[in-house]
Amino acid sequence: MINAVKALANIRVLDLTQSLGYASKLFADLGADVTLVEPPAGIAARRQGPFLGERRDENASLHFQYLSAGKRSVVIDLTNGRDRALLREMLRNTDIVIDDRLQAHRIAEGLGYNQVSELNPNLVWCSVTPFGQSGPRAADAGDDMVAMASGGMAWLTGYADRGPLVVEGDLAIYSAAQYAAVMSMIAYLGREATGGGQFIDISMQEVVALGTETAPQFLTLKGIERRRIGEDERQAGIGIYPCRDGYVLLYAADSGLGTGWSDVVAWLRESGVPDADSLSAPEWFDNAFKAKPENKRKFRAIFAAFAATRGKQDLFEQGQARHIAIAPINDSREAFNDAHLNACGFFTRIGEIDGTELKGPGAPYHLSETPWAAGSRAPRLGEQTEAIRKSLVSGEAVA
Amino acid sequence: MSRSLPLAGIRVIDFTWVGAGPFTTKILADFGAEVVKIESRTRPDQLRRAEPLVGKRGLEESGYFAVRNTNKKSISIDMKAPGARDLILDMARNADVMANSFSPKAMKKFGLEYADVAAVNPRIVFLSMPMAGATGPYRDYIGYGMSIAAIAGMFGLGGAPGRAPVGTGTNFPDHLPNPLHAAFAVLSALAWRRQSGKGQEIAISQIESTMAAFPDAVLDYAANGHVASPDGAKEGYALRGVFRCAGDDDWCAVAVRTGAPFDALRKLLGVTSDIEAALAAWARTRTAETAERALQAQGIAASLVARPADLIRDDGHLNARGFWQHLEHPVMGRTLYHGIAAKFSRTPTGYRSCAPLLGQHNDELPELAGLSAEQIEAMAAQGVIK
Repeated sequence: MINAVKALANIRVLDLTQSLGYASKLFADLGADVTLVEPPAGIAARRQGPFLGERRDENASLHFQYLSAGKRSVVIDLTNGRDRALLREMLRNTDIVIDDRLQAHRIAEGLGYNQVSELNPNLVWCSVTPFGQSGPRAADAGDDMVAMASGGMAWLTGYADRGPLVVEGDLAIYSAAQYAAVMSMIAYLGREATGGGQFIDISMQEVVALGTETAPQFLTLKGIERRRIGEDERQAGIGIYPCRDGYVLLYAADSGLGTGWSDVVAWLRESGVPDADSLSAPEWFDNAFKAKPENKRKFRAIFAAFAATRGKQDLFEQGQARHIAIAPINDSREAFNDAHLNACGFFTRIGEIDGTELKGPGAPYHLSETPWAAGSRAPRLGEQTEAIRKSLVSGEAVA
Repeated sequence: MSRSLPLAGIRVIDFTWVGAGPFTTKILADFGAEVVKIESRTRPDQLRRAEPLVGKRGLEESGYFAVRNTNKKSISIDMKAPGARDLILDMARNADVMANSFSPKAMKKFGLEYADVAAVNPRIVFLSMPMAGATGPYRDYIGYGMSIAAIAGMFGLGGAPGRAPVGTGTNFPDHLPNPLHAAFAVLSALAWRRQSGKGQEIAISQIESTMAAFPDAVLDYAANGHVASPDGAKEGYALRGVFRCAGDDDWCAVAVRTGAPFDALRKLLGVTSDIEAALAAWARTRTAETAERALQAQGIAASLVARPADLIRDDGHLNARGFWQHLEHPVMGRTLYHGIAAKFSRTPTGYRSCAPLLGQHNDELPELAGLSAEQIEAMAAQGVIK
C-alpha cells in the first residue's frame, strides 16, 4: 500500500509501557507516529516470548516484533534529569501517552499529568495499571493472571471438579491495551467538546470484569452463582462434544440465546442416528428441560454416536450449511492453516528478524479508504534516539 | 461538568444485535453518541430473551440485554415492510455511523449495503461486523463468541492436558476483543472524516479480530512450528498458578516473577527448595484473602480468585472505585450494571439511561428521519413502524 491514505497520520503517540504495546500498535497500523520510550535495558516486551527458534536475545522476540513493527524507539533513562527534560520536550508535541505506572511514581519524576499538561493542555494521558490509580488495591502488584483472577474471569474458567484456571495468551493484557486505545481515541476526538486533553485511569481488573458476561447479574437478579462447569454443557445442545479428531462446540437452542435446535435434530435424523426422532418431542424446546442432567446425558449420547465417525472440520461445514452454530475447537496449527482465513489473506508479514520474514495475524478490520497496514519491522533498541535528540535540540518538530 | 461528552453530536443507526455489536455501540453511547437501535418486534434481538431474566421471557426483562444497551434509543421497524428501506435511508441522511453485525446477505436483502447508504450520505461510516467477514468460504457462517474463540484457537488454550478444552467459560470475544476493535475502527474513521470530509466502509471478521488480539500462539506456530498447549510455561516467571486456600472453594492466583519477587517468596515461606509445594501448603492454611494480602505485602503479584459476590461486595476495591452502577428500569426495577473500566479527569462516566424498551423512541422518528409527523404516521399505518 504505497502512499495509501492513513486515517491517523496526524496523531503522535508516546508509549511508556512495558507490555501494553498492543494499544499503540492499533494507532501505528492506521498511520499514527508512535514512539516507544524505552529504558536503557529495553522494555519488557523485548524479553517476552514466543521467540524465533532458540534465540533469546533482545531482537529475537516474535511477540515484540508483532507489537512494535512500524514504531520508533528512543532510549530515555528516567533516573537521569537530562533525559527527563528530553521527555518533557517530546510531550509538547504529543497527542496521546499510554502509560503503565501510578501517578505517584510519575510525579516523583516530574512527569505527573498535572505537571505535563501545563506544557501541553491538549495532551491525553492514558494510564493502565493492575487495579487503577485509586482504591485500596491501587498499589498492588499485578499481571495477566492476577487480572483474570481479581476481575472474576478465572472463577468462570475450568472444570467443576478442579480449581479455577486462566486461559493462556495474555487475554487480560491485550484487552486492557485495546481498551486503552479506544478510551484514548475517545478523549482525543473529544478535545474540542470537552475543552482539551484529559487524564484517563484504566484498571485491568475492571477491564476483565467487563468480560464476566452476566455473572454479577445472575447473582443479583436470580441469586444464582455462575461458576466453572468444565466439559459439562450448559444445556443439551450448548456445549463441547467429542468427535473423531477432537472436539466441536455446538450452540443450538430454539428459545433464549441460540438458534437451530430443530436443525440439529433434523441433521441427526437424516443421518440415520438412532433415537434422533425422540429429540423432536415438545419438551426438548424448553431450556429448563434441556438443562436437566439426565436430558443433557441423553443428548450427549445421541450426538456422540453421530460425531464419533466424523471430523470436526466436516461437522463444522456440514452443520453450518444447515445454519447451525457449530465450530471446531482448533489449535494454533489448525487456526493458522484454516482455509477461510487463508482465502481471505488474513495472515500477513508482521515484521522481520535479521532477514527472516515473520508471518502472523493481519488486519483486525478493513477500512475501505484508509487501509490498515503493519509496519515493516520493529525498531532496534534506541534506533531513533539520536535523530529525536537532534531534532529537539535544533528546535524542529519531531519528524 | 458543563461541557459536552466527547462524542456528542455523533448519531449511530444501530442494526447490531446479540453480543459484540451492541457492546461496540454501547461504548459510543456511553461517551455521548446518540445510538438508535433498529429493532424488530417480529424477530427481536435474542438477547432480549436471554438469561438472567427477572420475569418469564418477556422482552424487557433480560439482565444480559440491559447491561449491553445503556444510553441507547430503540426504534421498532418491520424491515420486510415496503417503505422500511426508505425510512432507514432517511435516517441515514442525518447519521454519522451505521452499524450491523449480520451475515453479509442480510444487509443485501434489506438493500442497505454500504453503496446504498453512501449514495444518500457520503459522510457515513458504515460498520459491518459479521462473524466471518464479507468474503471467503465461511462468510455466511453463524456463531457466538465461544464459536469464534473455538475457531481462533483461543478456546483450546483453556483447560488441562488430557481433558476436553473448556475455553474461558464465557463468550470472551464478544465482550472485549471484538467490540474494542470495532469501536477503535469507527473512532479512527471519524477522526479521518474530520480531515477529509469523507466517510468509509469498515468490514470486520470477528474471527480475524479475535486472532489479532490473541497472536502469540499463532506467531510461535508460524515461525517455529510449535503448537501451543494449555499448560505452556511462561518466560520471566519462577512460579505461576492458582492455589487452593483454607475456605470453601477458595483460591488464590500467584504469579511470581524471577528476581526480587521470587526471592521475597522464598523468604516469606522460609524455604529454598520445593517452593511450589511449600507455597501450596502455606496457602492451604490461609483464606485466599489473607494469602493475597501477605503476598502483596512482599511485592508479589497475587489475588484471590474473585467470585461474583467478591466482585460486587460493598467494601470491595471495585466499589471503592465506583465501578458498579445501578439504574432504574421501568420493568426490571433498580438493577446492577457493569460500569466503564476507565475514569476520566473531565468526562463523567455515570450512565444517563437504562436500556430502551423495544420501540421506546418511535416518537422521535420525525426528527431522526427528517420527516413530518404525518409522514411517520402514514408509515405506521402501513405497518413499517410497529
